Amino acid sequence: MNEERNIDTVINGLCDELEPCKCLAHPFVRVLPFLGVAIIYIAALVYFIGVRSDLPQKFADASFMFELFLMAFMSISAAIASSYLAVPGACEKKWIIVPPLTAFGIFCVWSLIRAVSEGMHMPALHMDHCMGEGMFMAIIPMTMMIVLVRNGATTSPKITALMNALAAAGLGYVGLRFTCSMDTVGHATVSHLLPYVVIGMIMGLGARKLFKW
Amino acid sequence: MTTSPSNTNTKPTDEQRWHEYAVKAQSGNKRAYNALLKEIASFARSYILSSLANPEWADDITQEILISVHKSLHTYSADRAFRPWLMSIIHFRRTDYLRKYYGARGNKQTTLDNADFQRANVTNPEHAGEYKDIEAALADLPENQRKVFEMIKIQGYTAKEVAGEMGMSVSAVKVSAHRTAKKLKEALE
Repeated sequence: MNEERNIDTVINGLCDELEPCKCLAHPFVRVLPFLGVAIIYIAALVYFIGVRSDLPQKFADASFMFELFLMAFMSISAAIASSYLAVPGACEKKWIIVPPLTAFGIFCVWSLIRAVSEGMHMPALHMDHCMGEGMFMAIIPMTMMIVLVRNGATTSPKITALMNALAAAGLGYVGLRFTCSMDTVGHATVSHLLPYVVIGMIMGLGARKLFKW
Repeated sequence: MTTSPSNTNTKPTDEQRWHEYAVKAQSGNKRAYNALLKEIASFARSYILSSLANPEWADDITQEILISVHKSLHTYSADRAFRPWLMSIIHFRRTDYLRKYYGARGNKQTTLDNADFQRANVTNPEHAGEYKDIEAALADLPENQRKVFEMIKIQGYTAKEVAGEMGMSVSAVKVSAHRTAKKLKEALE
């Protein structure tokens, strides 16, 4: 009886607080500002840092272009997945996380094949500045992703955090490939990707607090 | 396509009703919102009740579900089904509550004399005295033997860990635990 009264009190309180609310737009619509701002931001950073000198030749390199498109696809699909996962009930669309995870898996296998065939080649050269620039490239996309998710109410915070990290990592990686002329697998993995993996893991651990609602 | 009169008079399902209430609530209709929350409260309570060790938690979780529905009402889209949206919140809040509860349980210790504890956690109160008998039988054991038994059988350490802690061989630890269990069994029969 007492519990029923408590629940009635909560219901009455919530009804008193009710105000007309603006519904969230479709996930595709919500993700567009993210993609727009993130791409412009990274393009601006690439411009200020300076484009690698051999970029025109690299555009003719199938391996380079494959890597760029793969990471861009991973980033965009992870951003869309984050947008879907930001609302309760997204668990019914489990397939939404498959494209970014598949792209990431292909990238890992691709890197492994390259590492076996070409060797890791991991000189210390460019290490520090690539990590620094990578952080700069990811910080705005990552912040925007977190804001995008916090505008909703996710019920799968860890997967959402993983998708956020993949979205920011993909864009940051693409940006770094335009500025850094070091193409070896070891350098790309350690300096270009590892910082994002670490950030993703930290985000995953703190996901429940980060996306608390 | 024509609709038969019997179809038009069909009582709306929970899903249709909740969808309608939610859409009205989003535009500020307090009556629809009140009806929605009342129906959700009753549904959520009965849904989670069977999965909880303590029925008293159901009311706390139901209240949290209602508050969560309120906070996330703007995330419900009229072109989607209501029930998956609601179920997702119910599962999330129930898991969250249980995680917090069991996470904090390590800090909550009490004796078997605590009547509130017995009421809330002992599912078969007429056997509550047996736990005290076990405690008493354990207290009668030599200190080393009791410590080995408690570490293995109650605290969940492995024989190897206990052996390291007590400065004994692994086989000696296993034999001691086995003998203690046998002794306790005899004492309680």
